[in-house]
Amino acid sequence: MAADQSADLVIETFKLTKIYQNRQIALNDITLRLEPGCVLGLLGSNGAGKTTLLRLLIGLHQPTAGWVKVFGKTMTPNAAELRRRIGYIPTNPQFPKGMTPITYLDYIARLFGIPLGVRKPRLASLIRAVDLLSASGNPISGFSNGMTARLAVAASLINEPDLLIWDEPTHGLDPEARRSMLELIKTLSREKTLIISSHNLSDIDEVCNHAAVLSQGQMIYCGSLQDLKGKMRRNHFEIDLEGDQKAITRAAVTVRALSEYKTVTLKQRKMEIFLNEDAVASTALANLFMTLTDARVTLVGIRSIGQQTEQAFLDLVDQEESRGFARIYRQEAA
Amino acid sequence: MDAGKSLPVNRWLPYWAVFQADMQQTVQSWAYRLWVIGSVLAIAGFLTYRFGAYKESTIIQPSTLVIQQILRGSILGCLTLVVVLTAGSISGERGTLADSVLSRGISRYQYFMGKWHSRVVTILGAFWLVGSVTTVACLFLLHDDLTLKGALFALLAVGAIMFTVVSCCVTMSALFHSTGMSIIMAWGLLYGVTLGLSFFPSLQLSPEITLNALPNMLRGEYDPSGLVKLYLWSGGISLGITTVGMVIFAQKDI
Repeated sequence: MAADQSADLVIETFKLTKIYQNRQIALNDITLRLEPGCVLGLLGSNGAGKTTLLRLLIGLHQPTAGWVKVFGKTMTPNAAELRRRIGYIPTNPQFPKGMTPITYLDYIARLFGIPLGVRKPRLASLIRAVDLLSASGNPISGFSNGMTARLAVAASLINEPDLLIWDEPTHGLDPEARRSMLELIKTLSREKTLIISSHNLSDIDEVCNHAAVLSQGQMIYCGSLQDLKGKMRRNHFEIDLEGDQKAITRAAVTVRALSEYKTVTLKQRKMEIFLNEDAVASTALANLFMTLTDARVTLVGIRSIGQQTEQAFLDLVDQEESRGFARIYRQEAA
Repeated sequence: MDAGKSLPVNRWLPYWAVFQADMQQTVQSWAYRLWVIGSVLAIAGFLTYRFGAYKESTIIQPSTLVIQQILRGSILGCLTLVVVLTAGSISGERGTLADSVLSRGISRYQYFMGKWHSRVVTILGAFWLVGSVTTVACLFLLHDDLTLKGALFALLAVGAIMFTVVSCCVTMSALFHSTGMSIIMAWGLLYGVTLGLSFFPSLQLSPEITLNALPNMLRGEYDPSGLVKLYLWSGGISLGITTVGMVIFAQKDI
């Protein structure tokens, strides 16, 4: 994600640190560079600092140390002209009482300073696009989670932003609404830069091309999603078998004796195996298949466990925690 | 990178949006309705009683005294509601609605001013409306000893005190995260300002002195320079407090 020319970056942070009232360290030393066209997935467990980072990027919070630049200019609480180029959705969007989608979007458009002649046609087309036409005159207070999420999306797009910052956009949505949201993100990612924070790692996996992983306020990974997946371990397999139970048990005992295998667990006809760190997966599996053939056991299926972003994320967090006091120094790989 | 499609921008539209939305929200709030309806009913009851005493028992009811009692009652009796109504204007939205507003193309200064001006207009507007109707009613119903010019200056004088109260409360609302704390600090500030002014008796500026001087003022017996001094001090204190509050708010986390 690094670029040589700082001026070309959409977002640049340097040693960004946030400490709340000298009591809680929410973010620690975050340096991030985001190029145009990136779709960055922000990962981290609860309290990792994702929302704090987003609020610092949008200027709702002031950094305790370090700085944030958006479109090459320093973000401050009064940088209204920078926020005119950003579309933001908070975690749980709140709406003023008594407003309808039309009055709310009109209000948001006026907050961006968009004049009447431009904002009215724009809000009408957005209401149509997010499928709220039939409910456009109804009070928002009666809306479902899916409808409020769609309205929040429309509000974040009303100023035709170059950068979208969405904090958990699929939170609380049913599968159908979630699918629509992911498709929308894919469409938007063709022409805009996006930062998506989510607990749902499969969502990140589907729509993002870059990832940043936060753990206890520190960024432990920032790079392409492919590189992140490359970091995950590939030593955990699950094998479905068929045949005589005694033969399967015999095969399991034989496999346990092989040097490449760390643990072999048999649950009826399902074998779960962990390879040693230095084992070559193809050799170890070839030996396994030969053992099964010798024992006249039929192989029904084999799955590699943890070939997901989720596993890579969990591995990263585990690795980070296992470093102990060494965490004071930056990991080269990160 | 590309600057992106740039929409035409009216720089003061965000201020107006906050001003109008907040006025609408304030007028629809229970505290505001309770204050206005409560005031109207209390004043109507009080006037009916005085009018009855004047007509039936022929006890002279000077309009100036009745209006002074009503204005004094409005200030002291409803102050708590006015404080509640204004001290939560910004702190009540922190972490919720304020996120949705301040993450858009609006500066903190515009947001603060929109909130402040909206509360001033709604509170003073209602106060002056009710006060004007009361004055006219007194003029027709009770012993006529007031002058219209005097009534205008009296309403402006009490309005100046209200203006300072609203300004202090909105400022406290911007400085503290919880509405409860804002209310406590607003009371503290109001007592502090009143106490501070009492140390300078030559200024003749304390709310108590102003309220006691109302009958004379209503009769048209006022010192123009004293009134100008009151308006200037009230405006000065309000502007000073809100400027400090606005500058701090512009740097604070939401």
